[in-house]
Amino acid sequence: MSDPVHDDRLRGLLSDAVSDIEPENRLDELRASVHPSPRVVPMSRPRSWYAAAGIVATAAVIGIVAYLTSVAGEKATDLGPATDSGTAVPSATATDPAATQGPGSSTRAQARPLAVYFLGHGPQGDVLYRETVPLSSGERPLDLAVSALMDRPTDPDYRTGWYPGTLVSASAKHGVVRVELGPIPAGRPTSMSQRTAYETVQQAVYTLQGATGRRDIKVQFLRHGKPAPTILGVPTTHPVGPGRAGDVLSKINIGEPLEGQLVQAGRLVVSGTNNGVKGRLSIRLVRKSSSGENTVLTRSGAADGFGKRDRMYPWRVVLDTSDLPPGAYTLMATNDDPGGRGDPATDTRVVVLR
Amino acid sequence: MAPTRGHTSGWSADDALELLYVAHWRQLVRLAVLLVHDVGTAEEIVQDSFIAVHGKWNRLHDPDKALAYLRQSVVNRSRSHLRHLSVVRRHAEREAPSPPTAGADHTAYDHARRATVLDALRRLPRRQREVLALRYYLDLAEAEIADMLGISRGAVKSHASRGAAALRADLGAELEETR
Repeated sequence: MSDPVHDDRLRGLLSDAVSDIEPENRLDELRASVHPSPRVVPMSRPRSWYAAAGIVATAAVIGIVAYLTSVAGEKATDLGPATDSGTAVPSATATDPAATQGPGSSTRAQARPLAVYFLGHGPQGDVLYRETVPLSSGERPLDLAVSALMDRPTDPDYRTGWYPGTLVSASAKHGVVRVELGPIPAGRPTSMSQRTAYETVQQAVYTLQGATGRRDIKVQFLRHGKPAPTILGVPTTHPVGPGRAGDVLSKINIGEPLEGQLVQAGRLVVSGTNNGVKGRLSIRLVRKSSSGENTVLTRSGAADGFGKRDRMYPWRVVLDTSDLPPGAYTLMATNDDPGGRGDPATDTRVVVLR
Repeated sequence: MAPTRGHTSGWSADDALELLYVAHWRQLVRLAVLLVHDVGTAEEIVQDSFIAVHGKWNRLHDPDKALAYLRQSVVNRSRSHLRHLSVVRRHAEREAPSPPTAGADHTAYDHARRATVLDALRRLPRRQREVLALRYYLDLAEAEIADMLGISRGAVKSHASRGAAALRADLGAELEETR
């Protein structure tokens, strides 16, 4: 237990080893066990619930939150685009700490957020979703970006393509971020799609570029100090720039609240970015019960803009939750689908009303 | 990690059960998977632990105590499961190592890496495995681990040191192969 580098590596490996395990929701059984006589049994199985609803064909597994308090405590005051790449979010989204802040969050409130991108499912296959992590004073953004890329996302619907040890270090010089790679395959595994491979590389490019705060900077991947010809089969001999936001990023992304966040009943501010038809979207707040899912609130919204494929536009919707009982709810943000193509981009968050 | 500090005081046992479940169910199942290497068994163990904490809520009545109790219960029940089923386990290991299944979207190398880590963990002596899971997955301090397992801090250090060395040796070789 004495070598912090090895400790961190073991910590990452153990966390990663079980990161893909999404246990069944057994709250119904638990309640039945502690109350053998019939009683109200809200909540059902999130996986099957989503699958049956067919709401998000490949995306939606509602995870249950492991880091509830740390999320509420450390990240609640987010957020805005942070040190973003500039290709995604043109301006800060409004926040309402009074509505969304969890206890104790003020201690990290001054930390500057850093945008970190993770893989998730979209209608067209894997896309990137954006989360933020707090950057402490004195901490190098590129160091945090490297470690955050290899860490677990807060939202269990997302994942990283960079497992612990695959990125060693990053530094910026002469308009290029130079990244030393650890052991990550040069070729694409047969089970991995080209899109997933490409998005994995873009995950690093978007996050590292965002950490520099410069839109024009590219990323040079290195193995033992020399340019890596390929990563997962993706050509990387030359510095790699960000792909078009409309192609690489999810067309909708909830920025706030965060996954598992404790929120005071009353006024729930939901914000994020999208790129949709006329910027329009809908927000649903869903409560699961023994009879299935129950949409308790629905609101429409619109982003501040639309139309350019290279940009994401901020939106903000306020929900009145004052009449809702405490408990876990699922927020769903979905782009409008006026053409009826049937598979609009969706992002979800589990929140807990107090 | 994330104790629900202060949030559930004054809650009924039912309320506490739901909040603790939302906050910790997944993490505790994952902890149990590290210990028993089987998702279904892990879910059973954690479910039983939640039922136990619900029954003791009037005595615990504190979210931090409840979380500590849950963790200890998961570790103890995992140990009990392995002890009582040791013969079955040996048979099962011959028949099917069965690492937790990954979703269809997971890549082959993701799956192989995770299975390798879980296999390496399973090969460790039970006490080393417990200490490593508590230390590196739950990020517990030595004193907390010592309290939970009923051993000295020195023993925690010793188990952690030996277990970490063995795990690093196993996993280092595997990672080199993926280069």
